[in-house]
Amino acid sequence: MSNLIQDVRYGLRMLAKSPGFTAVAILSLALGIGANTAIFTLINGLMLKSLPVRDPRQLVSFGKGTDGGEVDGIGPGPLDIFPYDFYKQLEREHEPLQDVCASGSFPVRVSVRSSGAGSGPATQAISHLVSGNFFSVLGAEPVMGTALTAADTDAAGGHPVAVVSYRYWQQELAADRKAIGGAITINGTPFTVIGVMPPNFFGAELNADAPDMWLPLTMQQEVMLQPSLLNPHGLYWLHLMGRRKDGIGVQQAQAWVTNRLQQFMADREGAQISTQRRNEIQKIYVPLLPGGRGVSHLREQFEQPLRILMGVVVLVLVIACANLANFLLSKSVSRERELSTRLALGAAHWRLARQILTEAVLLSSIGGVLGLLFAFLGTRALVDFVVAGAKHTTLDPKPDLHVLAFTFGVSLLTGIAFGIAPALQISRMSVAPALNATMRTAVGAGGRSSRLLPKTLIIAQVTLSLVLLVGAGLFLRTLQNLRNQDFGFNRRNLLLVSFDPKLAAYKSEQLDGLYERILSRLSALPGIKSAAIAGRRQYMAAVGTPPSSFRDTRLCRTKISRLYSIAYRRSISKQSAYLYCSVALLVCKTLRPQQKS
Amino acid sequence: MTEAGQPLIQIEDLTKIFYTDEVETHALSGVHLAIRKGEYVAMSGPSGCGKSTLLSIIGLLDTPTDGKYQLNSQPVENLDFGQRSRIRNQEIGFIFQSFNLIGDLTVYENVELPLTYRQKMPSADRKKRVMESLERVGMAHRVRHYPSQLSGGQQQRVAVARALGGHPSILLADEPTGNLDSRNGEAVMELLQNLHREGATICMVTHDPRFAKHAQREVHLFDGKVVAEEDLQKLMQDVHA
Repeated sequence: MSNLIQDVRYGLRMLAKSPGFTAVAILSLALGIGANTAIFTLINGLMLKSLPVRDPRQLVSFGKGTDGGEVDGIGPGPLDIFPYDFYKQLEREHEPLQDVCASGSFPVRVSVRSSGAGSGPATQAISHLVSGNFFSVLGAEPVMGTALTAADTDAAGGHPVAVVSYRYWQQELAADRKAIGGAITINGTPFTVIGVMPPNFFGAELNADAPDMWLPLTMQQEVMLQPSLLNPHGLYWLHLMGRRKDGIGVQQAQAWVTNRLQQFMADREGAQISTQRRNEIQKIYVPLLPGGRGVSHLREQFEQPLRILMGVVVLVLVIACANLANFLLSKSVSRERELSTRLALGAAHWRLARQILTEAVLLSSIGGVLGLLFAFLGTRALVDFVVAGAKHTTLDPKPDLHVLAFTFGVSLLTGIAFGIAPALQISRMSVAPALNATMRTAVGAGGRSSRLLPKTLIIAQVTLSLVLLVGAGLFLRTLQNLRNQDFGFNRRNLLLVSFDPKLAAYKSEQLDGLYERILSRLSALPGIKSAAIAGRRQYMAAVGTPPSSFRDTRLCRTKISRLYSIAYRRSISKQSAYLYCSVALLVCKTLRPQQKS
Repeated sequence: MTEAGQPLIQIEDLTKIFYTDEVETHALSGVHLAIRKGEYVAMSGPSGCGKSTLLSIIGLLDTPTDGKYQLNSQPVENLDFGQRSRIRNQEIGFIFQSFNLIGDLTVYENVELPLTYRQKMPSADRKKRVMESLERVGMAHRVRHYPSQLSGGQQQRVAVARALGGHPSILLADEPTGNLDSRNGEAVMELLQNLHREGATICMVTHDPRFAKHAQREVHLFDGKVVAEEDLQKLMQDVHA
């Protein structure tokens, strides 16, 4: 141990002796390790971290849980979105599972007034509609008050209660303990706050926006301000999650659930079901997937890019290692006399190799610590990119124990990776130079085989750099092509503004008039060439039903067509289906002549 | 430890040939040499005669091509690198011409260095030995200094202390005064003589007859062979003729 301390002390002295080399080495390592840590932090948060609940490994998700919206026609294939009456059936009979819970497949943005009288200032919040047993199935306990129970969802509209997130309680309810039992008004309906969840709890869905509150499914009409989704033969709009019974295999449970679903769908079609539809239903199945990490469309969206990015930053670190290995090789040649003196004094080759490796690991450890700092900043930027401006996200950029262990491991491996080449060189070193200064160039480490190692490292470095450069070049070219892609409509001077009138307490029957007023006022503005209003369906994916006021799109169809110079575009992402209740304002803006000058 | 009457170093018919591409260089040819415990031997001869090669083999820094070599009555000519390292560390103290102190280690750490390569030596023992050695060479007051802060003579004293620290069976000195002025050279020779008087076995390579005279016995080498002094004079005259 004291020898190791001596090696470390000597290593630090050697690093201090060459401040230029040390600074460059530490900086390049910090960037390499930092980039790896940043990507890993995101991978850890998005793909590896378990939900902060009791025994998460027992949880199973009914499908990927990445589809969201209100869906009617279901085709063959895996299913991850379900109607309310199927959930009620599983709630009653769930043989291979301890229990099954449901949650809306999309967050619902709501207008909240914290005063019970409903007269306080309105703020926006993100709510999740969940079944009464949601918290008990997940195994999550509130830090204050109580969670929802099955009794809270026994009747439609019967229990206006809310469980809020810790952040919401702190920031919007002033961290007031008296808020438990107090009233908040959600979209015009008074709700009672009954509990506060722990700070790290975000439900079962890892998405860009962290939910502010969880509301009973049975309050869906009051929360969503739209017709009931709880009626029999209703739309598919729920995600389901269950907790496995001990000793029941996933395959067995999956077969049971699929069988129940197919039966449910066949019954729903009625006696006059066609053979074709029956065959289709036979091809619908429910994959039961591990639910311990929750469900996430972000995970689905970013899993592959993150893996690719991880590969790229690993390559960058390998290049940095090769570079440093060459640096250390040249330094070990200049230290040949010192090293051969040590050999002459009785050091074994492995002892010197350990000295070199200690110095390399010291460098990489310092680089790792600095890299952790870079990673923290880098992860924030990455999270901002992934969640695309979400106000409060479930993704945590702070490094946890896994990330620290990863950084420690990467630093150690990096040190060994670039220290091993000079260490190998030393293992072939002769002791003769110690005795005779004139023999140094003749019998030192300058033989043909020792020249091969630096050459190999340089070749590897250049090859990997070329691979990365070509990859980066192609990537940039692709980006440029995407930027210049013809989308089929004129994007020049086009502005897009989203708004949600219902959050300002507009009733459905008031909307057409509101839209007409907005359009006429906008069109009258100087510099505006034309304006139109559209539900997202006009230019985004269609999964579900737009609000009633948009079923007749005569209001905007002509103007949008004129604005875009096309009719309609194909889908971009069906994950935005739940946003149908909001509308987008499209403004084609032209500059006035005097502004041009 | 050698048995009474047994030489510490016993070399018989030692040969060393260097092979470079297609050229064979016979550095040593049939060398016989014995050094007894407590003896002070100087090896001298013209440049290229094989003095340093012989010292390298005696110090287990190199291996002979042929012949026998016993150290402390143990054959050592065919040991592997690890075994030779261990024996070097425990039985042999080296004093180099250019001191070979490590510039980034303090005087104390330089003297301690060979002891750190011993697997089971407690640090308290190491400290005791280091301080004893430094006191013997009169450098105990410079423990925190770095070699660059010392004169050449002081550096060689520290090198001697490093060689002494391991309590070796023999001290091997390769031109220990080669990089010193005459005053410092004399001081180092006096130090070696004192050590010899205290019982140390010393084998020194030198080409300076003044310093060779300090030894008890002088071994002359010429063209890789040990020769008598009168033969050496004749051979040298033949070469110059």
